[in-house]
Amino acid sequence: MSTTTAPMTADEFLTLPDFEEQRVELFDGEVVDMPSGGPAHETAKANLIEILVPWLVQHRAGKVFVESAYRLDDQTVQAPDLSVLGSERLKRDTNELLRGAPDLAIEVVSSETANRLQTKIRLYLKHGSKAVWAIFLEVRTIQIHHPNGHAETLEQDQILEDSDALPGFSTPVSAIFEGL
Amino acid sequence: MRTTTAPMTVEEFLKLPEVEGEKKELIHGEVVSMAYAGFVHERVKSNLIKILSAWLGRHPFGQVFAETTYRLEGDALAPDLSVLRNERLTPVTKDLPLGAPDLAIEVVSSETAARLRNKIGLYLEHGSKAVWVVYPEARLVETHGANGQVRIFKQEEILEDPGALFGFSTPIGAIFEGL
Repeated sequence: MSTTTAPMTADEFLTLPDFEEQRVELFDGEVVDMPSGGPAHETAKANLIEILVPWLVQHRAGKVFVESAYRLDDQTVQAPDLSVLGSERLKRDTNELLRGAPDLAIEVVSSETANRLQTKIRLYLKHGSKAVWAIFLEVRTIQIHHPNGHAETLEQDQILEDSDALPGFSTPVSAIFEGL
Repeated sequence: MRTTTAPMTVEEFLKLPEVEGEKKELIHGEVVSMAYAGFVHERVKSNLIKILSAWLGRHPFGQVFAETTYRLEGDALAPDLSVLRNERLTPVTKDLPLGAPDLAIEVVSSETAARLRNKIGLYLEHGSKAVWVVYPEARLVETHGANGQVRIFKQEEILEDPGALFGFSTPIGAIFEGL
């Protein structure tokens, strides 16, 4: 037997009692579990934090957020593995900070379906992200998606730059997979 | 209890007994069952066959294949659709085609993002000029070029991919016609 329920709104979702404890997202009005990442997933995240934070501090360019939930629209709340808010965005009132997509959203791919990943990337860009990075662990590859519908695939031996989201930043792709 | 098995070779894979109605691939030494896809998936494939065949009929560049298995060194992959250019069509051998198709097309159903990424990487590494990834749900097509460049085409746009099929173009809407 299936019960039909009305789609949940972002407001209802964000006031769910357990929201703080659970790893869930709201996607088109439907509450969706976030896959928990294994050791490789967490290592890549830790590497990225180690790479991004010093650069952002040095250039006073913004802050890194971890699994923060962004309210993209009334039916959609997504929590990228990592996100960057630029210094302009950080001037906003704190209560408004997580409204709209982050300047840069980073997803370290684990067990999600191709459909789900594609949809997430598209939603971040539609709601104002300047870029979305998708990190593929097994093949040690990074894809940088831009709002204009272009993307680049970078391999281990290349240098990651992103002039839209982080002008002036660069890192060897291999540094993100260090220890894996 | 976990059993460790050695990765399977393509030769072993191709000797596996056939099970009717089951289609498999060998990816990084692992035998993977291909997802059973629903009617939406098949409709998109059928639209693409119609579009590509019509164009290839006018521009004798090559031929469209459906779910044909390609042997790539340690892997055996069967893209939903593929195009082989004329130079590779002869001689017709008993063995499966060696190397990746000139153009591989995957229509996304329930596969994981990681597996799809693996396949795209393998096709391009083994000589595909491009891989097209079709997302029926989102009505999007991604073209992945050998240089790592990706372009995303939306419903109202015109798909062109001169690196793979020079001179070809189709409205994205035609790929999703009837859905």
